[in-house]
Amino acid sequence: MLEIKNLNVSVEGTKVLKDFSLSIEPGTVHAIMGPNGSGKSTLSKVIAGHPDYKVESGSIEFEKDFNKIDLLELDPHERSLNGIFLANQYPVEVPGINNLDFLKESFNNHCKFQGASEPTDQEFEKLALKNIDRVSLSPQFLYRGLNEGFSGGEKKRNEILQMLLLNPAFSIFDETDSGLDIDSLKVVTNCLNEAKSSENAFLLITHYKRILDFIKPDFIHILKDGKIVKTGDISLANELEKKGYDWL
Amino acid sequence: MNLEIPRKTEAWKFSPLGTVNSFNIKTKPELKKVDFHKIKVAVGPSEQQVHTVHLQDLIDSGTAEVSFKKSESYFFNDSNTKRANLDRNLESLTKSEKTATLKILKSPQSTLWIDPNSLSSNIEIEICENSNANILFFETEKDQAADESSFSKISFSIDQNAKLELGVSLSTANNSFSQINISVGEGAHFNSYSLMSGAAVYKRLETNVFLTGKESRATLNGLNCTRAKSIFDYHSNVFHLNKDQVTHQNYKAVCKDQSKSIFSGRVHLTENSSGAAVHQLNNNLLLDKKSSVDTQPELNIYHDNVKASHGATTSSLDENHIFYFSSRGFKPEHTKKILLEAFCKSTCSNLESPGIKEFFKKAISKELYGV
Repeated sequence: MLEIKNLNVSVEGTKVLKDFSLSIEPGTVHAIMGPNGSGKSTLSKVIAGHPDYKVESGSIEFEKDFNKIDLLELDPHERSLNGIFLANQYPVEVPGINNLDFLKESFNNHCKFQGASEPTDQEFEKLALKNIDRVSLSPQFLYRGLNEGFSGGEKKRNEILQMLLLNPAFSIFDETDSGLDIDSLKVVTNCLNEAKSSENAFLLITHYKRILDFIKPDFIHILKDGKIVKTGDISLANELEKKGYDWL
Repeated sequence: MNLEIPRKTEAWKFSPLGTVNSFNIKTKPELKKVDFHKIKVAVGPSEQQVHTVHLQDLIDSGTAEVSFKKSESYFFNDSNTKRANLDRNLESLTKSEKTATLKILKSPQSTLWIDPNSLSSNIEIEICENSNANILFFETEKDQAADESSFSKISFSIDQNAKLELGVSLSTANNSFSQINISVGEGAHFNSYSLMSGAAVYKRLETNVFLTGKESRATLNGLNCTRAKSIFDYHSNVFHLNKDQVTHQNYKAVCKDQSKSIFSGRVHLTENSSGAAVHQLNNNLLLDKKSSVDTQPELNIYHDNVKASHGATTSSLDENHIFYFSSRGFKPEHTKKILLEAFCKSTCSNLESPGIKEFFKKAISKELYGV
């Protein structure tokens, strides 16, 4: 589904990802762990197409409907329309834009791209109400400004709500567990487990093993100094808990 | 064509702090023909539903009354005579220094629309005790040479426990100086919104609020949309003259095409302002590198027992916001429009009258998109 080969990325002249390679198949969950500054968030931003991150060499191929797409050739909004989703570490607050209107327009953008008919306002509101209940947010959050005055945990759940509505093929969760209390973490991971299918794939970026207790990754990768230095299963996360990163 | 910017004169100096008990701004503008009886009344949120009523109709319905200082009593039985007399009295203001006072006696069911071009310089409107009025003060286009400016001044007195929601729309191509003076009594609330937009070279709006009664409140929000090398100049003075008063001010500006916005907001917390709460904010958005902003939020504090904060920001559109929208399938150009509209329209959030709110939202859309 996603094939990253020999990716070299710099930010403001500093090289962050160095010959990074990773292959992700449909129906799998990958987790990336690593010390601060190892390049985890950079990876998520590069896949989503943030303009501040300069790709110096390498490739990212995304397979959709048996066609291979060169992601680096696409603008960020085109990547989203093709099925890439990034749940941000720090979702932005935008006063003056109603959350429901934002969700509906985003949903309609995807409907239009896929040639599907757009729902009516009432139909979409019903869909949004059903899904906001799944992330245990009060319906009132639909009628407030986009993330305006939301707590850290509420913002993260609003990101998951967007993921549920857009149903992307490939989702990246950039430290979605940070700022979540244990109950919220269970709600979020329940949603992820329900959304998981043989046709989509998840990439979890995290510092802590606790999220991996609720959603079982197929692979855990340790990122250090811009490269994957070790790949393993859940036992690798247990080892990290005990030893930290110094032994790698 | 002479496009020289009219400069501030001595007459526009702010009132000194020691003499704030009465409106003492010494201005001697040229008096114009008074057409105050042409008050428009909005019966719904749509501009098309606005119609003009004779002031006499408001008087007859018991909603308002008019009095003239240094003038004989005003009462006639016959309706036509009453109208004629009212018109004569109003028009006579052009020849004298008398003041006409419109008293809003009870809450009108509709928004009153007043065109500043129709006013003489000495009109006062009093919102009487416990009543609640929504007034829209809006410019209409008039023939004006490019180097000419119009002047308008209006005074409001909001009595005990009364409320005034005032919208000020200066959105024509005319250069203008406007001054609004407001006295706010005990427990009363002044909620205002100002929009300066349009193709004028220079506009200046000065709002002077005198919070005289205990627990009175003032909300002063607004927006400057400058373009095509224009300069829009917003000044406000709020005087806290009694206990437990509240001021909230949130003024924004969007500048493009080498234009300039000026914000000068002063809040004076006097020796009598114990328990006051003040929050003042000015946010500005620059859409090109040659536009500029002068901002001066200012607190003059003469009492220890007050809470006061102020701040100002100036930036271009946030790239992180644009990326966030892009990552949800929005095209960048569309995102910029949405963000700009949200920035502008969020200033209307405190308006309670649906008619006034709708009016300004439409005016902002017209300014941004020309429709």
